[in-house]
Amino acid sequence: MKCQEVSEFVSALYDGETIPKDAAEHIGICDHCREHLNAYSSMGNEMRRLASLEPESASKPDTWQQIRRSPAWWQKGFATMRIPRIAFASMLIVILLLCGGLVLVRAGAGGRVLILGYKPVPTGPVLPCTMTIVNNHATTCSHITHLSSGALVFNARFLRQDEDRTEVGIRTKFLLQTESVEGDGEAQLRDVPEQILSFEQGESKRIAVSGMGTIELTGNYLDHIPTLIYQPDETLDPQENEFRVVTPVLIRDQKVVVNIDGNSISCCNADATLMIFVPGEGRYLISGVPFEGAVEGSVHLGQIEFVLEGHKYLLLTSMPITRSEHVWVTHEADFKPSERMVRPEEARDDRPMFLVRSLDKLQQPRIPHS
Amino acid sequence: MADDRELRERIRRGDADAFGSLYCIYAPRLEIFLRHVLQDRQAAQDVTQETFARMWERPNGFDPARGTLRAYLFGAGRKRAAEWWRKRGAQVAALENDSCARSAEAAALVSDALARLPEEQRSLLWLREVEGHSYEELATILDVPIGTVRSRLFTAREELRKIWRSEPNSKEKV
Repeated sequence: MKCQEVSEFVSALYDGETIPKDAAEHIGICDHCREHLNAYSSMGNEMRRLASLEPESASKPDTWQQIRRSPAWWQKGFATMRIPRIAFASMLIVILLLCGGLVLVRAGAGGRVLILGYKPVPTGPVLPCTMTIVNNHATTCSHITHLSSGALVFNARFLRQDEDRTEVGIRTKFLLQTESVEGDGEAQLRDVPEQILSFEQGESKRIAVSGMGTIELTGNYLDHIPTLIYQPDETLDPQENEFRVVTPVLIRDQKVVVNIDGNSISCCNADATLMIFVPGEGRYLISGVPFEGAVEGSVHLGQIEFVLEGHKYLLLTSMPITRSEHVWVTHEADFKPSERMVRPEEARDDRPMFLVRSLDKLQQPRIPHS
Repeated sequence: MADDRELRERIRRGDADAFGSLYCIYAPRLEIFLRHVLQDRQAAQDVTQETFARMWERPNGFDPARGTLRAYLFGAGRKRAAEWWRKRGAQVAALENDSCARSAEAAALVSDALARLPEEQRSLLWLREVEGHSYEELATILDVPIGTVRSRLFTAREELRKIWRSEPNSKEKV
């Protein structure tokens, strides 16, 4: 073996990892590789020495007390209240009822998943927010919905279920088109006070969103988490020209390249294209139409097979992807979302992501959102 | 100390003592790690506090099935550090130029060499060499496959070795 072939194993050997026998044999007799091994060891020693010389951390044992959870508004003063607390609590409930802020939700028989649909009033898309109300799995949901006049940021948090009533905490914010949308929904709403609400099954209630108007919310229950959490009424069959990707797993030569949770769907774009980005790997484009430089792959329900750059790939998803039997695929190793994606939450090079958009958009120098 | 799963459950129940133990063990180490990632002592303190505040407010963010609590905390700290860098994007170039200028007269060679590495490589080397994270933990922190950890560690070491070797007073003999 040559030094170049085993160079990565020198680093792995220094870390105590198992390396191939022939690589170990080469390192054992090669002065050049052993010099690298010694250099790594020296650098490691120097780094640990540097860490030992670091000035003391300011994170003292007592400073964590400063970050303990701030009391909610209703907790402030509750502990020192001088009138009977039950009387105050009753008064508070009456006030909330009079304000119309308290709505009752009755869980359907056996329902354990709350689908809290909300939509801008008078017209707008209905956006289902899915939360489980047993155990502690998926108890929150956050959306950023881009509307014509700006972006609606919405967060709902399951609080508790008392017999047949469910209580949720709602936070909303509206950002004008001129304002930048940075971070995820939870980050946007960090400073927004939470409204504690509960809903009666099937009943619609409205809350005001500052700067936008009103949104209407409706609570319903399912006995399972829908596969498409944003479209719980959808069926398995793709529509004509629909391209849907749910929890994709990309496998290369029988090894998993990436396994991503979530779903992305494009309806009615003849050139709908899946983009999968993997840090260190670049991006893969898988399109329903032929395009320059792409190799052809075959589709069977939720599986796509193709051969690219001498490797055999298999893409698995949870649902049928498209009605088409063929797709076209390229790989761009040097693609970086930070250089191409317009939306800040998508312009990240440090985590895997996928989305479905038109091929035309994905090939633009700055990739716009839908 | 309790195992990760039990510790998370106690923190979820609002057990201040459990959270205090966690803080005492990991906060100083996380802060020192973040100093090297951010190159800013005050920012390192702030990001450390934010990371623990998030853990206290949302303990469900840590899933014991996906890795150790230590890996989760360092991964969360590193993500916040990356956000900090992005927000300071306009100032990065100036800072990088400054670090190059300082390098010629720096006394702490390895510190200076580290400062000239990209943030990701600096983080990776520190987490491995100083914090002693395993490949599995690094894969969790960086959200990449273990094979990628191995290749990135090699790349980072080679970059550091080249910079270190170019230092006029370097101890390295390669």
